Amino acid sequence: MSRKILSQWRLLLIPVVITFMALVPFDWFLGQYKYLGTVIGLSTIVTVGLCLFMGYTGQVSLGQAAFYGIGMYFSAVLSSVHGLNPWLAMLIAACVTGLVALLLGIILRLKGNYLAMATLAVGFVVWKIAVIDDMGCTGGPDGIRGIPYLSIGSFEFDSQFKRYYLVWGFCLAILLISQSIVNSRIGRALRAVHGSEEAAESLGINVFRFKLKIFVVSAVYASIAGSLFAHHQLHASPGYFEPIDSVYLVIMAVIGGLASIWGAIFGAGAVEILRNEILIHYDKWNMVILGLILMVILILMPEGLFVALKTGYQQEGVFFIPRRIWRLARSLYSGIKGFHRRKIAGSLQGEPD
Amino acid sequence: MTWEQFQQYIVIGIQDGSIYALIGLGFTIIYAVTNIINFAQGEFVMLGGMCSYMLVDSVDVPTTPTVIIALLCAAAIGALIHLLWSRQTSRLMLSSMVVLLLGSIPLVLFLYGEFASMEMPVGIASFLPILMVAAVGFIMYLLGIQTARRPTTVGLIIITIGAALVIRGIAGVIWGDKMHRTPLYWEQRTIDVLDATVHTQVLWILATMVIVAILLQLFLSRTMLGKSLKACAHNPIGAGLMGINPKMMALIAFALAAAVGGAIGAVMTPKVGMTYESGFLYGLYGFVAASLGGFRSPIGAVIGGFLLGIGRALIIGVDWWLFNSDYKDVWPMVILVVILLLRSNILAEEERLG
Repeated sequence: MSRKILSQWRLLLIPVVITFMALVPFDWFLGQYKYLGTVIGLSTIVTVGLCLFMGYTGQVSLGQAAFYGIGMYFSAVLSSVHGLNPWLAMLIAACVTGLVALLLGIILRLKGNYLAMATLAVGFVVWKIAVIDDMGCTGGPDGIRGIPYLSIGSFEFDSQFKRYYLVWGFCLAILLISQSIVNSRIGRALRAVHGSEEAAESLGINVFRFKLKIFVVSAVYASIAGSLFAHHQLHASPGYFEPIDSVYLVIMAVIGGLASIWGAIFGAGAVEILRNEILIHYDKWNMVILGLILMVILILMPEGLFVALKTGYQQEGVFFIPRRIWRLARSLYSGIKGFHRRKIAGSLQGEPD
Repeated sequence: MTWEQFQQYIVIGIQDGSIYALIGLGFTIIYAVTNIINFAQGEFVMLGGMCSYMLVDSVDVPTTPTVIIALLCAAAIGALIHLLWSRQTSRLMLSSMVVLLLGSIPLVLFLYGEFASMEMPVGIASFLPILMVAAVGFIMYLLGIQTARRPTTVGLIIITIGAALVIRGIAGVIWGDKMHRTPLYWEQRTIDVLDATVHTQVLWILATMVIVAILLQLFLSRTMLGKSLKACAHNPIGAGLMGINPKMMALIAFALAAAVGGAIGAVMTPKVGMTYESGFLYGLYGFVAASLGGFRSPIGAVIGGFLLGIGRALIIGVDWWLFNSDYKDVWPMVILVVILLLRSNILAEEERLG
């Protein structure tokens, strides 16, 4: 029953969402949020890559911002200092980032904890090298200015309005590509790797090669987002990809649901809106709140907020949230009454009554 | 680099090495018992420093006797916990209440001090943070790790990252952006050893490291609780069959690691200062130290810490090609990745066996 409703809703939902997104930059609608919308689009692109790598393949990356940074700097340096065509610069940046990811791919032999630390270290090193600026090409902490806008023929993406559509065009393309990756043989192989690497290996899947492929793909996504950002902000500096930004990207992927392509928009949107519009008034509390969100989501619904909401809706219909809160409160209450053997933390997921 | 300079860099290396060694120890304790890498370990260090700052805020008289009293207090509390452990009834409840109480004492004292403008000697002020931070580690495990549903390695990593963000953010809210220092423990600033000038606080840092390492070693090898902890690290299921509660052990491991972090944080603050963001880098270095020592051995972590500290100081000293002070933070990370890769087969095997 609810499934049927869902499919009916979905038919209506998709055009509504697309129209909404398309109307955002108009001044009579949500014009003042053009910039925010663009940032969300960029974050979505990186998050989709991270979802592929973390959610579908079951790996972990705390250094994704490094690839964003590499893409950003290559675009910036090639197009501003060397005067290359921005599109060509972007392509070269993506290729270089892919190559870097391919070389770094050796760290994919590590798992879990160690992979997390190794990627964190890589992210830190890339950021630090950009700050140190030994070769004199990254401009140190101040970064690079004088980057041209992207343009097609004589049509230049010189206004916020145009760039919003540019970024979301890229974003949509990347979402669709990722969707088809996930639904293809590769996607199934990835899920097998996530389930059990040994089992996948025994089915004739070259586990390392698949992990490497998806690592490179996610790095290239991040690089594209970085390049777009460079031509959007006209500025590239280490401040845009600090190690902590990788953590924020992980938060986006987690909120969106790790194994969910379209959830990435939701996650990126939620975090960017929180960071740029709401938490900006609360100074350092933003870290606390984002950290709490991250913890609560992973404790109660490790599959991600977006996915949890979706399955909850599918299972119990529209009012599933109050029902589950009620059940959680009740189980907590009974947990406090009999502290010892009973399960203390009830769940938003809930057991059948 | 002359011989005098070399000695000076070695002193710096010993100072940093002791710090990294203790942070690495914290990693090892938690990792050995729970197989979790605690990304909040660096934040424990930061909290230790910040709490000690909070406690001495308006004080300028450091005295040695208070330090001794503080150590006696520590022994008494250790004995108390040990006593509680040997009782069979609902140890979890009891010990959690004890630690929470102990953690709240400094807070009450602090509030009292705020209202009555009480002055707290720096000795006590650098001991109490240990308890406060231990309480934080304790709460973090109870609320964050133990409640996790269907925990996976990746999920637990992200939970500890979330906890790190929360701790860092709260520290930022309370203590602001400024770098805080506490007064030195001794009035004399420096002494001369051979040709090098040694900051007296470095001696304290080294002494703390040695004392904590010895106490930890004694705890692990001589007490029943410590042995249970070790048993749990070797084989949680087998330990469970012997009547040891692995969750309880994990809880103790978190509190212990936090206490170790808090201790070094409090002692190093007079020398290096502390901002709310310092924790991240110290955590990374502690992890490098632990990885140099093979993750599971406390002694290995100490040796790794000293290797890292002295190596890093010498990189600053050498100042040749890419080995200069700009790259002092880069090389340890490169070495970390290389070590992880070299050990990847062993690590994978360990992970598989759990």
